[in-house]
Amino acid sequence: MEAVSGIARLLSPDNLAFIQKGVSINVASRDVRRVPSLTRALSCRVDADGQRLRIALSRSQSSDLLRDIEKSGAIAVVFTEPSTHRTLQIKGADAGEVTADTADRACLEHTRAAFGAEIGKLGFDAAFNTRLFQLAPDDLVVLAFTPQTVFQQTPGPNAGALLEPAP
Amino acid sequence: MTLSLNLIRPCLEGVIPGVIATCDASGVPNVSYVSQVHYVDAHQLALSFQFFNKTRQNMLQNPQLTAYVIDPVTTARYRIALLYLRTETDGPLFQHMKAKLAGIASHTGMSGIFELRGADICRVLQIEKVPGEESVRLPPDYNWLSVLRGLGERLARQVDLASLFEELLGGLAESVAIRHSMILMAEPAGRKLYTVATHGYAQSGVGSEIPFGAGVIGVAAEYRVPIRITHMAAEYGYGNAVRAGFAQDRFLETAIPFPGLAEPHSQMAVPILEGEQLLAVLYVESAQDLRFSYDDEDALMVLARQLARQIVQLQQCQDADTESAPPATKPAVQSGRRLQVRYFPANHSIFLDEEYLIKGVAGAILWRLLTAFVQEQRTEFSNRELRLDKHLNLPDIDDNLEARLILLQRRLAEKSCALAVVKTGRGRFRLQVDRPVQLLEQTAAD
Repeated sequence: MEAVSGIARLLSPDNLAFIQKGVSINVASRDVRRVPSLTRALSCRVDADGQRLRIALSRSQSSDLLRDIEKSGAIAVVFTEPSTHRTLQIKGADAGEVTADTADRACLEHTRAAFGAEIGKLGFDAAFNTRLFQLAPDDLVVLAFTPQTVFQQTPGPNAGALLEPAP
Repeated sequence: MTLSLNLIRPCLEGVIPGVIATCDASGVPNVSYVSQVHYVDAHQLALSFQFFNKTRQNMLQNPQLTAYVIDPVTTARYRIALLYLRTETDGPLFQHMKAKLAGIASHTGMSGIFELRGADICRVLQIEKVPGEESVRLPPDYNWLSVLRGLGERLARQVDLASLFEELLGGLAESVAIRHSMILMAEPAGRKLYTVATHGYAQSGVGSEIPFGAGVIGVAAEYRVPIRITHMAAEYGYGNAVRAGFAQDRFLETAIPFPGLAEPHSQMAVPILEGEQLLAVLYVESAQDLRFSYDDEDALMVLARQLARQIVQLQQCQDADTESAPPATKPAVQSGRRLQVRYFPANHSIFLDEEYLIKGVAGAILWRLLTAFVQEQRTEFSNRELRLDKHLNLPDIDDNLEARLILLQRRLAEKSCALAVVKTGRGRFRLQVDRPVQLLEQTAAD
């Protein structure tokens, strides 16, 4: 059997699909004094090399977080599916800005539609979703990081459990 | 001017869960969802502590938190810098959040999983508006300030409790479309409340009782705090399961059904307090989700304060001056079939022609009036004599006599065409008896 490498060691195919399917994404970092920064992200995809996650967000909405990431590289990203409460948190220590490419933009478009359908189930209309994803072309920023730890955070008895990497 | 928490309360109803970022001592950030980011006052909010998780560990180590909330209507986004202060595990704020969380849990299919362990109280250090597209909030259909002024003036003109209650409930329906409402008077000695006025129900339900601690009304009474639920929560309603629990209390009125909606999606109960003393509870409900907001809660609390002062004033001047006493009249001639009135002194319950009417203090009062009618042919009475009546040596009758009389008056109006209590002036009333009556006192041995 072929050894599993990179992200696939930490995230099962099911979890990998989950974080890219169009769920709610929030990103945290912290400053030198351990004060946390927080912003809402827009989409997520796995880098072509299969090692890193790429998180797209709005620069104008995330100034503190981007400043903190630049200094510390520390990142925590939580993914949740509003209709089911399924939740996963992924942490890393080497986050940094990368140049947004066409694949990031395509991923953002796909996520916008998928997330709109997801929250539509809960009664939020298309206009609400459009406002959530509204972004000037030069406002897009992408953070890339190598996942180090993954936590199952769906509310319930196993919430908070660390998901062990595959051997 | 910095952005005030008062202005972003629509984000704090739990429609979209809040997001909380924390950081541990070694510098590893953490981000998680919280079902409730609850408004406490202009400078503090409380987070629902539901699980022992990393967020919790971190905030105990490092009290600096950052929250992110979204307005579920306009999409406006805010980032809030918080300092964790302490956790409350009981008390008014905890109970309010617990009730609201029950509604959120039931609405999102998380009943039994979302359970409040504590209210994590945080100081708001800064609120930052996150730039982004948002829609304009439509103005509400009414202006609470002008409603409060108008309704407050109308209430101030009322000279007795019955019309005060009627004016309030009618006014809420007319001016802010709160169509289902009721007032329940507190009976602290019995740890229960009894319904004295209702609006918008097929059956008035006057006389029905709710124990302290049961449902939104009982919790509001027990903790003297407004309780507001934005979605249906069976454990806070008055469905069969909750009412079944009442049956164990033999002093509780269970024969008169509680009039409330079978499945209220929004409920709010506000305590009517004079100082720290609970006088009554104002309860409103709706079949719609999210019908009542933080603003509605504020407004009803303002009305409840005015109501409390007026209740106390009206109770203080409920005794008649002797000069205003109406001339004693001979009772009108009774005709028709004889009305059998059966009285059980054990719980002061009264049955008219075998049909249950009422029990407790109101039952004892009616029996006293009927006895005076039969023995002395009296029909005119005053509050004062009832209050001084040694036979009516019942707890807290002093405070609530007027409310008991309203209750008795309403029950008679609903259940009997032969008996009526009619107000004849301040602190005076007449017992109207249209049919011959036979009084039967039933002791336990019978």
